[in-house]
Amino acid sequence: MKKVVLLIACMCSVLMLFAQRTISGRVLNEKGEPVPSASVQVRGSSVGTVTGPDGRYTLALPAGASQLEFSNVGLTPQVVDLREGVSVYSVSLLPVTSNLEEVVVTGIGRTRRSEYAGAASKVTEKELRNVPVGSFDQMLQGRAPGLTVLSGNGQPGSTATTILRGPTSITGGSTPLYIIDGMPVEGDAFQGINPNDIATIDVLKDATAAAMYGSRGAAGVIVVTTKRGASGKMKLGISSQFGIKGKPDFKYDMMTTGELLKAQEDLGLQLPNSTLTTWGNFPTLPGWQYSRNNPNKLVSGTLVPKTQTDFEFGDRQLDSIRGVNTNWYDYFYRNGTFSNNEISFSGGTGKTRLYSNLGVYNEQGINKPSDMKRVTLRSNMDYSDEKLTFSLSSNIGYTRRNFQSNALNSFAAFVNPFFVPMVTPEYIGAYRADGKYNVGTGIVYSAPTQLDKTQYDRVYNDQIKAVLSMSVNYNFTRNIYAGFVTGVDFRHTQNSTYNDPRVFDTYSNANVRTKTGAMTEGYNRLLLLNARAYAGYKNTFASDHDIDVTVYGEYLRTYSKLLTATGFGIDPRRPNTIAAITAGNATNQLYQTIGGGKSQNVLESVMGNARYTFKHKYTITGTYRYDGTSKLPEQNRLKGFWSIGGIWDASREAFLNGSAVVNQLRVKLSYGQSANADNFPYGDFGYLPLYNTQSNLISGNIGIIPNADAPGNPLAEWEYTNTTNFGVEFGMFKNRFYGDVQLYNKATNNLFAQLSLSATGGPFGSIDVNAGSMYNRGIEYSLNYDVIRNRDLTWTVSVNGAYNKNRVTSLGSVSSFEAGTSLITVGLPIGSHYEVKWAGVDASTGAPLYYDLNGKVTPVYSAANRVQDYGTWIPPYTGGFGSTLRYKGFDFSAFFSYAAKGYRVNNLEFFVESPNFLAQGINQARSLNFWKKPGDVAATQSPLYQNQFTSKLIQDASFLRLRNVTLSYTMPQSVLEKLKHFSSIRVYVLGQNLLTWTKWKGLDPEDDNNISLSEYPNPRAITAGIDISF
Amino acid sequence: MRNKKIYFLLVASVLMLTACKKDLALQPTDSVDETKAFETVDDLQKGLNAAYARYSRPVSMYVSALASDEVKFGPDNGGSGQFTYRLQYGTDGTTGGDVLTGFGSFYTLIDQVNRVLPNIETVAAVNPGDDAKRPVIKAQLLALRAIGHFDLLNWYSKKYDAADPLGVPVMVKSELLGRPARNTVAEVLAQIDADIQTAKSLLPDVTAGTFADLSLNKISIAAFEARVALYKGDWQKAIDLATTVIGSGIKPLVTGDDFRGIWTDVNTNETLFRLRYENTATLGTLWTATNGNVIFSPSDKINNSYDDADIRKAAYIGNASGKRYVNKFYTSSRGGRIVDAKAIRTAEMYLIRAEAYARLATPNIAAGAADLNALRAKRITGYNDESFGSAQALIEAVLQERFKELFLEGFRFFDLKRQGLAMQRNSSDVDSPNWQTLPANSFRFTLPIPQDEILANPNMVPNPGYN
Repeated sequence: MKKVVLLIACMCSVLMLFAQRTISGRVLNEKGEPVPSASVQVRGSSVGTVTGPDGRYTLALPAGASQLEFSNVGLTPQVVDLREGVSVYSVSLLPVTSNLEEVVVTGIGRTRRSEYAGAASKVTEKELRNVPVGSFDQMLQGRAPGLTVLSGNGQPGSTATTILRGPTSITGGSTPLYIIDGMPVEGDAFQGINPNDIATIDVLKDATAAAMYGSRGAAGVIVVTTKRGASGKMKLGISSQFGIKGKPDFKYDMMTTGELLKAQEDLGLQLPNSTLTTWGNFPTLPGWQYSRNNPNKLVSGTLVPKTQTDFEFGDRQLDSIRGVNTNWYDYFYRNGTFSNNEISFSGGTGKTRLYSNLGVYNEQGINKPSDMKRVTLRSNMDYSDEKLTFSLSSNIGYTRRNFQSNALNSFAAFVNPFFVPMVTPEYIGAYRADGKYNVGTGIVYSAPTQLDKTQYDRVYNDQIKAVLSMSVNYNFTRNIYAGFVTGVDFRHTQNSTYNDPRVFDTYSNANVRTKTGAMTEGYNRLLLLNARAYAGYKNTFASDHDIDVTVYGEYLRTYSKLLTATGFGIDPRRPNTIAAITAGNATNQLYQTIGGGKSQNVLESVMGNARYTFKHKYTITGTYRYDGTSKLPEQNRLKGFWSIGGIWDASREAFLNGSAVVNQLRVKLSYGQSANADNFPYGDFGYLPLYNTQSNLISGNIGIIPNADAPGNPLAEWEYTNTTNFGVEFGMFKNRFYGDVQLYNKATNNLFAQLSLSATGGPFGSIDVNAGSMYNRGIEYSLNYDVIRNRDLTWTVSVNGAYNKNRVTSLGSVSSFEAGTSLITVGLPIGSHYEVKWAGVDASTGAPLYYDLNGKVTPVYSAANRVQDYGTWIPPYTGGFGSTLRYKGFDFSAFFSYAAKGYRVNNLEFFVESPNFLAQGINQARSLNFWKKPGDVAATQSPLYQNQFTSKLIQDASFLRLRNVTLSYTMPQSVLEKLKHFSSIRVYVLGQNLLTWTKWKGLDPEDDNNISLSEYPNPRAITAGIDISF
Repeated sequence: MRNKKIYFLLVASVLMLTACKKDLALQPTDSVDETKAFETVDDLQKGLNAAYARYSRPVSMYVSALASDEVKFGPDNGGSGQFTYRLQYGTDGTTGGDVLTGFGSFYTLIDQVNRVLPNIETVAAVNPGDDAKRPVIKAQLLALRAIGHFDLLNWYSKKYDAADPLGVPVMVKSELLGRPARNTVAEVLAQIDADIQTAKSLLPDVTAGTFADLSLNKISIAAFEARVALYKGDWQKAIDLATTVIGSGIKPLVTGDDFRGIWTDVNTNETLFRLRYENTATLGTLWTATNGNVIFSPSDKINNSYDDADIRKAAYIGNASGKRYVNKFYTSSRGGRIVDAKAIRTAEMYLIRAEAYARLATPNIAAGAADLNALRAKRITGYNDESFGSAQALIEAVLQERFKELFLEGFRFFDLKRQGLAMQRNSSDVDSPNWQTLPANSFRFTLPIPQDEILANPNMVPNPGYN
C-alpha cells in the first residue's frame, strides 16, 4: 500500500516539475486576525517565506513541491497538500491546546517545547490575573512543580523566597535568576511590576537553560514575558477590582483578664516571694500580689504580713482590674481595603502592534499602618516586516509602602507589632485617663507603647523601578539572522524613618540625640545594564536535517549606591521631613550622621547555542558559555559552562503514529554545568582582604580596621552545579490527559562552607571556602485532565507536585557549622534543626527533662546534648492542585497549594507557654499548663526552672492552603453585539488564602526561615472586579 | 554585501572580548586592599585609635558583676545575662554569651595591634614630627597588647600559677588561619612584661601638664604593671609601681563633688586610663536600658555595705520609682547611659599598695592601713582612721574596700578568684538558693573557652569542668 502511495507521489512530482508556479495566501489565527511573521515552508525543501504584517505571503514553488507547512510560535503547525490549479492557500492556525505544544521562552530565545531538551514549567496569565498580591513571585506558589515559594511575610508588596529544586548554596543564596522580557533583573524587588501585565512565566529548571546563563544559572531561571499587542483593532480596556483583606485566625488563644489573674495566683503559690514587687499600685503580678491566698507584701525590700486593710485594698484593686478586658487585636489589626484599577490600550495595525497599560494599585495591610500604593505604566511596542523585527518593552512603576513603626522580628525588646498584642495583658488598658495611650516602661506596657509610636512615627519607602528592554532581529536571508538585545533595570528606593519627639519611646530615651526625635532618609540605587549581540544560521537539509546555530556576546554591568542621612532635634509641627531637624553643635550635641557607599561588578561572556533535529524525531542541543567576572580573583575570573541535551519524539515513530491512546510522547535527557554567581556570598570584592576607615569609632576618633566581613579569600571560586535531567512529556486520549514527569540530580561541588577561624586571628569568625558538596535529587510531575471538553462545558483538573531530597555530601576539611538554629552536617539536608531533645516534665518534681546524647533522660540542660533529629525548615514536598469548571460564560476555579514535612522553631511558644514569662507579667496562651504539684502531668515545667530552647519548640509547619478561588462570568458575544461598543465584559469574585489546614501553632506556617519570629501573617482576601474592553 | 555584515559582527564581537580582560579588573571604592591599608604615620595613628576602641573594659565589668555579688536581677530584666547570673554558663553561645565575649574581644584587640605594628618603620613620614611619633605609637600598641593578654589570663586561666600550662595563646603577629596552642602562664606573663618594658623604654616622661588619660603613657602603664604585679604576688614590685603612680601626684584622690563628677564625666579626676564612649551607651546599658528599664540592680549586699556617711553610696546607687539602679554609669552631658569606662584609677593604686604591704613577707601593717585610711577619708564624711591588729584583718578590710570602691569596675569576681575565696550572695539577692554561692576555687572561676574556638582550633585545650 505504502509503495503505491509513494509511486503516486513520485508521479505527481514529475508532473509538477513542469508546472512551476507562484502561490499566495493568508495566515490567520483562530479569531480571524492576521498572523505576521508566520513561516510558510515547502516541505522537503529549503524554500519558504514568512507572512507580512497583514498575514499575507507569496511564494514561488520549486519543482517537486507537494506540501506546504504553516507554522508560528505558539500556534499549532498545519500541513496543506498542494493541488494543481489552485494558487491560493490560506489557513487558520489554532493556538496550542496543551502545554505539550507550547513555546519555551528562555529569555535568550524562544523555542518550541518539542525542541527544548530541558525541564520547564509555564505559568500563564490566567493563573496570575487579578490575584490581589503586590509582588508576582508570591503568586507562583504551587504553580510550578519544583519551585518552592515561601511567602516570608504578608507585608503588602514583599517578595517571596523562591527555591528551585532545593538549595544551591549554603552560605550564599538560592534565589533564581529573574529575566523580564529578555532583561536580567534583580531578584528581590518586584513591587514595581504590575502582575496583570504578565503574559507568561517560564520556570526553567535544568542545565539546558542554566548553561545559557552560565555562571548565573545554577539556581534556576524564571523568565517573565509581558503582554503584547495583538494584531487587529485597537481595544480600550478598563478593569476595576475592589476587596478587603482580613486577619487570619491564630492558633493561640490568649488568656482573658480573669484567666491571667488566676494563672498569676497559681504561679505565686509556687514562687511566693520572689515574684512580689513593691506593695502599691501597678504590681507586676496583680493576680498574686492582691490575692487573699498571699499573706505577705513587700515594703522597702522586706516582706511583711498583710493587714486587713491591705487585703481589702487588694480586693478593690482586683475588682477594678477585672473590669478591664482590652482586646489588643482590635487595636493592631484592621480589615484592609484593596483596590486595583487599570486602563489598557492594545492592538495592532499594519506592521506595528502596541500594548499599553496604566495600573493603580492600593492595598492596606491588616496591621496598621502597613500599606502599599503603586502606579505602573507599561508600554510594549512591536514592529515586524519580512526581514526585521523590533520589540520595545518598558515599565515604570512607582511604589510607596508604609511599614509598622518598629523593627519586626525583634522579640527581646518587645516591640514586634505582631507579638505585643499577644503578650500584653488584657487588664492593661489602652488609654490613660487623659486620653493618651497607656505608655510605660516595662514589658507589660508593650502594646500601648507600640500604639503610641504607631500614632506619630512613620516608616516608609518610595521606590521607582524601571525595566526597559529593546530587541532587534534581522533576517539577512532565510538562513542567516543577527540581532541584539539591550536593556536597563533601574531601581531607586528611598527609605524614610521618622521618630516623633512626642512619642514616649522617643522622649523617654536616655540618648540626648534620640530623645529629641529623628528623621532618617536613605537613598538606595541599583542600575543593571545589559547588552547582548548575536548572529545565527538555521537551515533544513534534505528535509530531514534541521539545524540552528547561534553565537552570542554579552555584557552585564551592575552599579549600586547608597546614601543615608539622619538628623535629630525634630520640631513636631513639621513632622516627617528632613527640614525639621536641628543642626548639631557642641552645646546641643545633635550632630547629624551621614553614611553610604557604592560598588559595581561586571560580567562579560561569549556563548554558542546549537540544535540539530533529524526527521523531527531526534534532537540534540548544546550550549557553551564562557564567562568573565570581576567578582573573583584574577586566576579564576574566566570560566566555561556547558550543556548537552537530547530529545526523542517517540510519538513520531511508526509504532505510535496514529495511536488512539498516545498522541504525544517525548523523552528528554539533559546534562550540564553552571554556577551560582548572583548568590555569591562574597560581594563584589570579597576575595580581597579589605580595610575600612571608620570615622565613628566608639571613642569618636577615626580608625583603620580590617573589614570583618572581608578576611579575603584569594582562592575564591564559583560554586558549580552539574544537573542531570530526565523527563517524559505525554499527551493521551486525544491530548485530554497530558503532563510531564521529571527526574533530576543536581550535584553541587566547590560549595562554600564556613571555615571557623580561631578568634586569635582577628575579628572574622569564619571564612567561606570552596570545600563542600551537596546534591538535590527529586521528582516532579504535572498532570492535567480535561474531564469534559465541550463547546459549552469544560472541566479540567490539574495536579502537580514535587519531592526534593537535599543532602550535604561533604564539607571537605571544614567541620559542621551552625547556621541560625540549624547545623550544617554531612549526610543531612541544609537547615536541619539542632537542639536539645525535650523529654517532658518530671511529674514528681516539676523539673524539665532532656535527653542526653546517649538517649538517657537528664534534668541538666546542656547545649552539648543538641542533636539533629527534627528535620529541616525547607519542605521537601511541595505542590498544588486545582480545578477549573466552565459553563458557557461562567468560570469557576479553585486552587490549593501545599508544603509538607517542613519543620520550624515556634519561638512564640517560648514566650506564651512559659511560667517564667508569666512571672514577668506578660500574657500567656490558654494552653499554658505548668507543673504545680507532685503527680501533675504537665506540658511545661514548674516555674522554679528556667525555660530553655529545646525540641519542644520545633513544630511541623506542613500546610495546605486554599490559595485562590475565582468565580467569573463573561458576557456572551450575542449580548455584547446588542449592547454595541463593548467587545468583552467579565465580572468576577476572587478569594485568596481563604482556608488553611496546619498543625503549626505560630502565626503563619508559611515562612522562609528556620525560626518563626512572629512575622507578618499572610492575610485573607476577598475581592470582586470587572474587566471591560471596548 | 551580506558577508561584509557578518564580518562586521564578528569583528565587533572580538573587539568586545579584548576590551574584556581589562574591564574585569575592578577595584573596590569603599574599602582599601590590605596592601594599601597603612601608608603614612597618620594611618598608624588611626590604626592605634582603632586598637583603643577595641579594648573593651565593659565586658570585664559585666562578667565580674554578674558572676559575683555586685548585682541582682533588675525588675525589667527579660532574660539578659541570666545564665551568667545563675552561674550556669557554658561553652556555647546561648548559655555562655557573656563569659565568652572576652575571648574574641581581647584577641581582636591584640590582632589589631599586630596588624599595625609591622608598618611602624615602613610607612612614609609626611609631616615634620612624624618620625618622632613612631616610637610613641609603637609603645601604646605594645601596652595595649599587654593589657589584652593580661585580661585573657584573668578570664580564662586559673588563679596565678606560673607553671600552669593552661595559659592563653600568645599572639605577637596577625595570623588569619592560625591555630595556636595555649602557652604556659609564665610564657604569657613574660610576653606581657616584655611588651610593658619595651613600651616604657620608648615613651617620654610625663608631667601633670602632658598627662592624657585617653592614651597610655609611662604613668598609666606603670599603674597597669602594678595591677599585674599584685596578680602575680610580686608584692614589693606592686608597692614600688603604685608608689611611682601615687608619688607622681598627677591624679590625686579627690572627694565631694570632685569625686561625684568622675561618674558623670564632668571631670577626669583620679582617672589614669579611660576609654572614651563618645556617643555610645555601651557601658550604661549593661545595667539600665536607655528607656530606664532596670536590667541589673545593685545587690542588697553592696547596698547595705555602705555607711550612710559614705559619698559613694549615692554616687554609685540610685533609686527611682521604687527601682534601685546603677547610678555609677548612668548619665553624662552626652546623654543617658553614655559614660566613659574608667579602666585604671588612682584609688586602685592605694588599694594595691595597701594589700601588698599587708602581704609582704614581713607585713607593713601601718603603711597599708595608712593607704586604706587615706582612701576612706576621701569617701566617708567625718571618717576616723582605723587601725588593724593583724595583716589578715587588713587584707580583709582591703578586699571589702575594693568591693565598695571599685564596684562594677571589673574587679570583684577576679579578686575572689585571685584570693581563692568563695562568692557568697545575700539570699534576698537571688531568686533561688541554687545560685547563691560559688564555692571557693570552683572551676567556674575560670571562664570557659568558647565552644566555637575549640571547634575552630584543634590545638585549643578546653578549660576543665565545662563539658
